[in-house]
Amino acid sequence: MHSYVLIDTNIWHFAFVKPREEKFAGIHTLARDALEELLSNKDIRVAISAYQVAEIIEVLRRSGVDQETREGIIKDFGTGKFFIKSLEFDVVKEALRDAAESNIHIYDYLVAYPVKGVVDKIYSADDHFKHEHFSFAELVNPVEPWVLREGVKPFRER
Amino acid sequence: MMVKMKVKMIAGKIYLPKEVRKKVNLSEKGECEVVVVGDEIRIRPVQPETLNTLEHLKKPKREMSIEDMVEAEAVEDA
Repeated sequence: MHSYVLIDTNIWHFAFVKPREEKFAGIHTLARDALEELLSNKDIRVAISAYQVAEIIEVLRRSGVDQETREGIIKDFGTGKFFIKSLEFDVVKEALRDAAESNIHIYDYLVAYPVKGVVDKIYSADDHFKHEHFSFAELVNPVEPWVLREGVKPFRER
Repeated sequence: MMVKMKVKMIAGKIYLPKEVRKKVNLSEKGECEVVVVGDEIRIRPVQPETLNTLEHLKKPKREMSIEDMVEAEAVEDA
């Protein structure tokens, strides 16, 4: 029986881009291995909000991942391996309300809330997903002990 | 996201309402996969044999400084 998972943008990013610094190279290996395993497993389907599709592709573009690779990924998103969930206004309103309460930026909500009730697990190294707002799915950090947050250098969980 | 409804079966054919097809991104024509689990039938889009993404992951990776990677993820103010 298949299950749905969410794979956060930071995992996609580190899987495709390798940090030059040796001390961060392990994150790349762990992220790539996790992404390969999840995409190869026929019992797993990946749920992605339409917002996250844009986020992943834009982050890869800004990281210099070539257009052919990006177009290949977009083509994959159109296959049955992925379930693309549209971003609806009611979900945006809920996300805005909860982001204002938690002070976690809106983008994590726009990644997760559209697939609430669909996914069993969230694969992410962003500890924002430990907040109770995201407790609808089990959080798995495939690059543990590293923590990845937007705009911050990777750091080890204390 | 659980949706329950009754649909009609006529001569072995089950007619899925448009709203259901739309919800699960199933097109009106073409192939889909049928998975039987116990006495339930699940219909889903055809699963691909392989993915471009898996091929691209095997290729040499682009290298960046961690500062550049952080900047790529950061949201710029307008």
